[in-house]
Amino acid sequence: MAKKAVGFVKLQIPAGRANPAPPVGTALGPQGINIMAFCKEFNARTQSQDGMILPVEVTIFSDKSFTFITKTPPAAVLLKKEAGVEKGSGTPNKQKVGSVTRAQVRKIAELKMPDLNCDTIEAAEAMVAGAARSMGIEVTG
Amino acid sequence: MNGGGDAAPIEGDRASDRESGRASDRWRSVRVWPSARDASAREAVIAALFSLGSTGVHEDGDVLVTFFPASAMDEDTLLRSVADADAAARVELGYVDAQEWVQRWPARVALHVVGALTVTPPWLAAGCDPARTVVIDPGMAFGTGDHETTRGALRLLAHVVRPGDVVADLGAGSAVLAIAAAKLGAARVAAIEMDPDAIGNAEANVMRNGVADRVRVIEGFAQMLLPLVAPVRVVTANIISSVVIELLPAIMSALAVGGQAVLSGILRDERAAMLAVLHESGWRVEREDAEGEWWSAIVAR
Repeated sequence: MAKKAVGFVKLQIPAGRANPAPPVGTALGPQGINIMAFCKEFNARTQSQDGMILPVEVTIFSDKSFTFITKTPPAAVLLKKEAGVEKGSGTPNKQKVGSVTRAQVRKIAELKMPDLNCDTIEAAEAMVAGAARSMGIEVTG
Repeated sequence: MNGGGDAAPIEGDRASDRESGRASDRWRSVRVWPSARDASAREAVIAALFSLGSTGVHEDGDVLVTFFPASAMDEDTLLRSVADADAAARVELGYVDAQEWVQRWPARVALHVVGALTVTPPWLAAGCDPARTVVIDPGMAFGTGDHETTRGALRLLAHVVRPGDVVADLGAGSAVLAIAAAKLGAARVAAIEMDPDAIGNAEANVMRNGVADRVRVIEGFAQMLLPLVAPVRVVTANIISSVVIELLPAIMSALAVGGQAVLSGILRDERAAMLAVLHESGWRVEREDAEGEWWSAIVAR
């Protein structure tokens, strides 16, 4: 029989670096799950993406066991990394803060594909390019 | 380091603070309601919080919640950065007692019999034979016996440790493996841990188990400290695979002839990759252990 889910927690944590301090502890502690075990498993599963901020969704069951899935980093985070910029533009139409190539957009689209509501890689690329424009990052090449 | 038992009252307070596994800092809580304009405002706020040094953001419904050590947070910079990211965002600042969240889960920690040893929280220790029992107070440190990786390492440790051994425990956490090594007969154990929040808990556990004459808790990076305690007959490392792999060369140089290492914290589906790395770098795998989705091994040079 399927276990009954009693809690659901959404966090964003750097890959490989979860620790029991807040907000991980404050978010998961009240759910009664073993915070250390969550950190150990999250870090083990995400260590290859070290430091990249990952959305993670934790489901807690009635026996206080848990499971979690990690999502791909937000497109904005990936775009900033590819463009090598700290932050997006406040006025994206007027002020450009950087640029990415078509190939970089495709790379991000491929990575994001599992979490995007897109049927084709072209549709995913269009979404990523749209996100880039809205942050003042130009798509070139 | 404070070695005496005659600490001044203020030191004593701090020691008991650390013993209970509490971070000594108060934390500032930051709750942000981004404007509902579009998802990019939300993402921009999250990015701003991380660039200010947040170690994680809790998405509590529409609200973004994060925390900063009170000593490290500058309110003006925070408010300005959030406003830059989303001018219409609402921000609420508060304080939270570090102790609050740690205390919720220990009640669930159970007693575990692992081979010849028993690992137990203090409140279940009555009636256990002290020579074969490791008492761990659950706090802000990993290793209560509740996790498969701890139990895997303990089972393997029992095959490895001989009376009189010199042992180094890397990423000691609660010092559960270091204390176990002492109970299995080790003469000297260095418990190396980099997380300052874990150190107090590890030291308290060492005292509680009556092995302070054999186990020394050292705060710092294994990479740097291991050569200073070498040569050792046994190394234990229950961390994660990437860190274990990074430490392999240092472990190899630290081990005495005939030395062995217990490696844990490795996912079962990382086994093949780990075996390949071990083989390439000249290690022999002597014994394997698996529980749940986790894998551990005894390796020798």
